[in-house]
Amino acid sequence: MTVNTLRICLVEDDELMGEALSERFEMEGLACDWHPRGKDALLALQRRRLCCQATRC
Amino acid sequence: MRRWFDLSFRYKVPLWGSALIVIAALAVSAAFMAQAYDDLRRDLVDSSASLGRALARNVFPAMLNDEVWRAFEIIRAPLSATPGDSTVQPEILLALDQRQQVFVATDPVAAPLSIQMSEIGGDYPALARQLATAPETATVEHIGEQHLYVAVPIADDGMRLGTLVVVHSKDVFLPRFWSVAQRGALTGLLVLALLLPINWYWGRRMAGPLVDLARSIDSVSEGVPHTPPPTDYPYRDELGRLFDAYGLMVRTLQDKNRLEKEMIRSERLAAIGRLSAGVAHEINNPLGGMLVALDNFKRRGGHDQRTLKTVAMIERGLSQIRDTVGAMLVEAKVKSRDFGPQDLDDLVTLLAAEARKRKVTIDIDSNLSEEVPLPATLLRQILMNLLLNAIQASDPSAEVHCTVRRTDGAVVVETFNTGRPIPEEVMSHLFEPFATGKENGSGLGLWVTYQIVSQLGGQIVAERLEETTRFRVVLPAGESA
Repeated sequence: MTVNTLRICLVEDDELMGEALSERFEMEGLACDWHPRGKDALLALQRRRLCCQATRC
Repeated sequence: MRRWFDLSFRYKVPLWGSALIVIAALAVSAAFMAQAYDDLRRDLVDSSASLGRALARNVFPAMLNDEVWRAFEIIRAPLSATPGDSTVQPEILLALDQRQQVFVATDPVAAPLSIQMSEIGGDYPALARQLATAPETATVEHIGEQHLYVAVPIADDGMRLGTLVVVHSKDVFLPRFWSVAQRGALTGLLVLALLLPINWYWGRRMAGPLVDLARSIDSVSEGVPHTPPPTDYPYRDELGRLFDAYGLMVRTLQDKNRLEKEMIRSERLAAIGRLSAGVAHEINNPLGGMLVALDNFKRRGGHDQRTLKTVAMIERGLSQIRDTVGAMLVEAKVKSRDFGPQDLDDLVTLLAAEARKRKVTIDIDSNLSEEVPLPATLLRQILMNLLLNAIQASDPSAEVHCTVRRTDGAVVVETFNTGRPIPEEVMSHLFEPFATGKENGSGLGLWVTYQIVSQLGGQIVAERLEETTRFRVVLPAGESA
């Protein structure tokens, strides 16, 4: 896991939707971090620099 | 006794009136009879007195000369008068001397000569006492049990020789009185016969509206507020004012009832709205997840035909659920352009196919000349739903009419269609989800329409006007922002 690799930060509270989307991103060859809660996602974002955020409410 | 006062006015008023009339009639009759009795007696006494005075004058010389036989002749004269004039005909006449001894009498058997009058018996002792105390020249009358006595002094030039007593039998006087009394009674009965029915009619007429009113008020208190004012009471008296007040009360109650029903209905719809929105939201999330997962599954490939068929079936089912849930989730906050006159043309085009299928013509009558500040998507959906319903409910080959009116601060949309009216049981749940009256409807069209209308702050009302069903939507629309 290098800094240059593109990673998607997914914030989704619904488990089914989060899991399905993570699986889909994986299939498409995109690395993805899924956070069910916004606070966790913000903490993660502070630790890494990410270029893309996908959120869904 | 209390029972009499508890009686209905229907009987009480006429009964009291009748009682008063009867009492009045009896009192008047009694006074009349007493007067008649008195008059008759007076007449009799007067005529007896004048007869007595005439006889006394004639008998005076006979008594003076002690000619008994002549005196007898004189006093007998009135008794031999022609029969028929019985009233004034005396029964007996007596001439008494100064010592109240019988000088001569028309009936010597009853009153023998020289007997003291008080010894004759009957009423005579009382008459004798009365005569003894009476002044010398006065005419004395005495009413006995069976007879009436009038005593006249036999005097001339201040010299008194005795007393002449004229005796009348009451038997000749009473029949006369009874005939007068009978006439009086008949008149009284006639008056009663005339007044009692008038009183009865008047009483019933007075009490009738009051009784009806009381009955209506009873039914109101039993919880039937739709009771109309019982009868039309055209007069402006207290009863009329009571009727007005009753009418007002009934109208107020009806309004209150209608408002309550309306409130309960809109509360219910709002509650259903909240529930369905919540449920739809909860369903939507896992639904989206499942659809994505299914799509992932298909993409991975390498599945046999049977698996793919099953997956396709599941996907179809899920899509159907998504559509239904999507329809229930009315999102009025969507950004949309303003509704304009061209949207109406679009609607006609969109509905043309359905209209052609049912051979229905659509007539849209609009006074929109420019855009109105309402979201086009939502207003289009309202119109679309209402018009589709109207087309499907309409008689074939009939016309569906729609008016769109821009008024001050509002847009009023009305649709009219003929055809089978909405049944009463559907009408009360018309805007609830799945309250469809159609065989192949989703049961969400009017529900969605209602949700949109209420989210836009408007009102929707369905009415049956004889042959026509009308939906009326009023949406507040201020000046274009």
